[in-house]
Amino acid sequence: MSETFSLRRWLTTTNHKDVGILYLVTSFYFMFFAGFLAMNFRVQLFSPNQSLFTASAYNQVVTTHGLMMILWVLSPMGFAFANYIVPIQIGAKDMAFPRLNALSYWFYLFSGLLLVSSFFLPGGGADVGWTAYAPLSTTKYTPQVGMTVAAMALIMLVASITVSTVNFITTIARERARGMTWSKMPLFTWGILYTVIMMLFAFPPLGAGLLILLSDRILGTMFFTSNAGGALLWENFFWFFGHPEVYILLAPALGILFEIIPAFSRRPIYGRKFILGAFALASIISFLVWGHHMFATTETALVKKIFSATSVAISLPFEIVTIYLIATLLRGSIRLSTPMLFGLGAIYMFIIGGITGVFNASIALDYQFRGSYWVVGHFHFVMGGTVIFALLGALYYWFPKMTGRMYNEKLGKIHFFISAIGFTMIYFPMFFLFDMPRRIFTYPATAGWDFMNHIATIGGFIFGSIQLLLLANILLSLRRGPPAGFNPWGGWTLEWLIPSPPPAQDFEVSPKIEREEIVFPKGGSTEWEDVEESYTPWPLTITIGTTLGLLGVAMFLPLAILGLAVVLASLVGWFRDDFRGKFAAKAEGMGMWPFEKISHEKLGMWVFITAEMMLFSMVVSGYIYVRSNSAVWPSPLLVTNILAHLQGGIINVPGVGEIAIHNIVLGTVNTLVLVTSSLTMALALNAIKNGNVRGLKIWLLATLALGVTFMVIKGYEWAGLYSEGFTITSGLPAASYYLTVGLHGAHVIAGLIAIAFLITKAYKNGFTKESYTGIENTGLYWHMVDVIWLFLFPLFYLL
Amino acid sequence: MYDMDRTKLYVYVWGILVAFTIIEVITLLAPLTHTVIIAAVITVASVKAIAVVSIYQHLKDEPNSVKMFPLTLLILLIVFLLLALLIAMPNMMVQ
Repeated sequence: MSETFSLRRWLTTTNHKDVGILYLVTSFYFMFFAGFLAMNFRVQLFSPNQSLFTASAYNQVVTTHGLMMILWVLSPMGFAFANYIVPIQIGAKDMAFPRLNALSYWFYLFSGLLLVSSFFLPGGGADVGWTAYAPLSTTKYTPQVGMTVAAMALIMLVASITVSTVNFITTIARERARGMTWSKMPLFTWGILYTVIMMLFAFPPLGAGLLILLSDRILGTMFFTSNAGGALLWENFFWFFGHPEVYILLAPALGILFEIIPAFSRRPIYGRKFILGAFALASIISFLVWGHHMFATTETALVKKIFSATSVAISLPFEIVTIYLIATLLRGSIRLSTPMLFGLGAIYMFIIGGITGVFNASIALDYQFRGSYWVVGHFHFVMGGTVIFALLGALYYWFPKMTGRMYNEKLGKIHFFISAIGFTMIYFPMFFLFDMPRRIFTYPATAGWDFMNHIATIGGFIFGSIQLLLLANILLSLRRGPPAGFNPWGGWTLEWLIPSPPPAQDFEVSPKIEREEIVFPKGGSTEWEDVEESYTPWPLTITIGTTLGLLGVAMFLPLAILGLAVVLASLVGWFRDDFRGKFAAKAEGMGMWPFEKISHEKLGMWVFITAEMMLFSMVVSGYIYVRSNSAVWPSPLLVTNILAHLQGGIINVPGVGEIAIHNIVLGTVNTLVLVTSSLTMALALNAIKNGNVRGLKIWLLATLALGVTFMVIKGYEWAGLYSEGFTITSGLPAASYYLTVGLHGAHVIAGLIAIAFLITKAYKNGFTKESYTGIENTGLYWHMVDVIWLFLFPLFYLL
Repeated sequence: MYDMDRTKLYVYVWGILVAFTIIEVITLLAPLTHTVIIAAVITVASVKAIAVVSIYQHLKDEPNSVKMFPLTLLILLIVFLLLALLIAMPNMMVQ
């Protein structure tokens, strides 16, 4: 099924190049949508006292523009190229998990559509800015359902990114061709690896914050409206994600520059090892700077100083990167083709954005600049200019490889020069508007801001409209562009050694990298067997079900039930494909040091577990945060004679008043049930490793029974708590208990579904002494659920 | 490791998990300060988690490249929990 215009192909593909193209087209669609919104509010700001938008409409437009550009355009466009290019650059035939790759894409697309749709719902969409600061984002101040749907879109995107992270880490770790050592791996692939590692730790905090926000909005809890939680709780969650996000956007862009600049300078990148070291350093420091977004809050002076120092420090690795990029140019034989022009443009943008960023690390200057157009100018030069120009450079650079045709060079150069002028006209004047607040929808004539806003708006229209030339160039070149050949730029990485566009499986024969040469073994058998192209509808149908489910929870509950049914039916289809071994042939890569002794499924599961643990640790952090900020928190530690109150209930504590503590007996029994289920799961794996299928069935059934028992006890306990008035809206102690334990319960249910599938497969003799991957990985997940409970039990029942 | 050896190991670990769970509850009854109780209970929970991760999840048999993912996170989590609880303690000890 390789017809270009076959709808079935594009809806069911799992091929990494197809998925890459889908990402590219979708991210461009979202870019034009978000860009159109930007041009609208630039009209509003063109001159004082404009009335094109009301305050709320303006805020909705700006919010959707910001969210969409950052999360649905810049990052996914980088991952469009990553999907297409990374597997080829490392000599793989596809991603480690092709179906999950398709699932990531569909989650991305539908989450973006959810965000767009929220814009048109009654009451409008989110109008709280891309930072969604609480308590502004709670129903108290933003009651419209559009805000809820926007938060759900973000949750769906977090899920997409988590799946993508698992896939890329596993692919790069496990699927590299022989001889493709870390030291020989192309820098674009390195950039993507750093990106996904940062994503692994940055997105779960956002997910945790969104879960709590949705709990406030839908279930009526009060995390973000209470004094114990409130604005600072959200800010910590958000910026622990938000600042690394800047480097998550930057790393693929810099990776692209590391490909383009050497290729068009005709010399290898200068200081490769230092660049990789700088990247690593930046990735670590990126998680230590989030507090500089909160200089104006109640942070202590010491904390502010620490974050100021780390914020200055993070500029150091990027200075190294910039200097080495320029040093690569110095003795190069430079060709100013369109990709190179965009690459140089990105460096120019990065220098301006970087230098102005250092100012924001200063506590004193931050008090002046924060919330002003100075900041807007700064972050657009970094996240907009640098990243977009690098991505456009990548589009021109890899367009011949992806399509087999050259683009029109003259149109490309015109596109670059006008884009650079337009972009600078928009954002450079904003540095002179350091006294203009960024979150106003209009301004008075007396402010004196109109001239700079005139220039910015004219620049916006120049930049926006010239992108139509890019579209025209692409469409014309797709039809009439001259053939590109294998390697129009004289590139050195693997993608330039295969036809343009590459065949479905990338390589006829697996490449080997020997010393500084790439070798395609000839004669003899190929190292990877030819694999039939694989198509499956389940990633798409799971996504449709999830979207319906989320919309249903926000607006109309029966829709959620329909969505759940679609997801469950799709999972059955997915598992049936598994059972038939439909995707098994794509499974195993070579495995290079230090990942040669672990299967890619197991590695993927460990990466996923890391993301899950990060999510739970953030939710638990939220619990500890609100608990530490509460004057009194119900705890068995407050009860003098706890032996008399092991079954919990409402207890009158002298000097404190009435408090509700949990049933320690039930909590203990449930803990014992869950640890016993861990034992039976371990015994199930042990049984099949020894070829004992009967033992496998018995232990799996026992695990299922114990898991169900755990949930039944939990249900009984919750029913009792509710009847005593300990409801989710009865205060933060109840809310944090139900949210955290409920999230854990959802994970138990997901594990039970997987175990039910394993039992079915075991009864159909689907496991043998040699083939038990599903048991092993489900076991890893099940034990993770156990480990989480081992902490939740003391935190909620004992302390 | 032979099948029976491994089965025995799993059962021993289960026994430790059960015993430690009971110890956690009994700690509540001990005449100790709240600070000691909190530290003891979290420590015991951490030991239990490490037992599950290293034996049931076989992390001790995995290559170091795999160990680094969960171990880094687990260590961070434990340190973070202890720090957070220490910060929270003044409010938790209101009597």
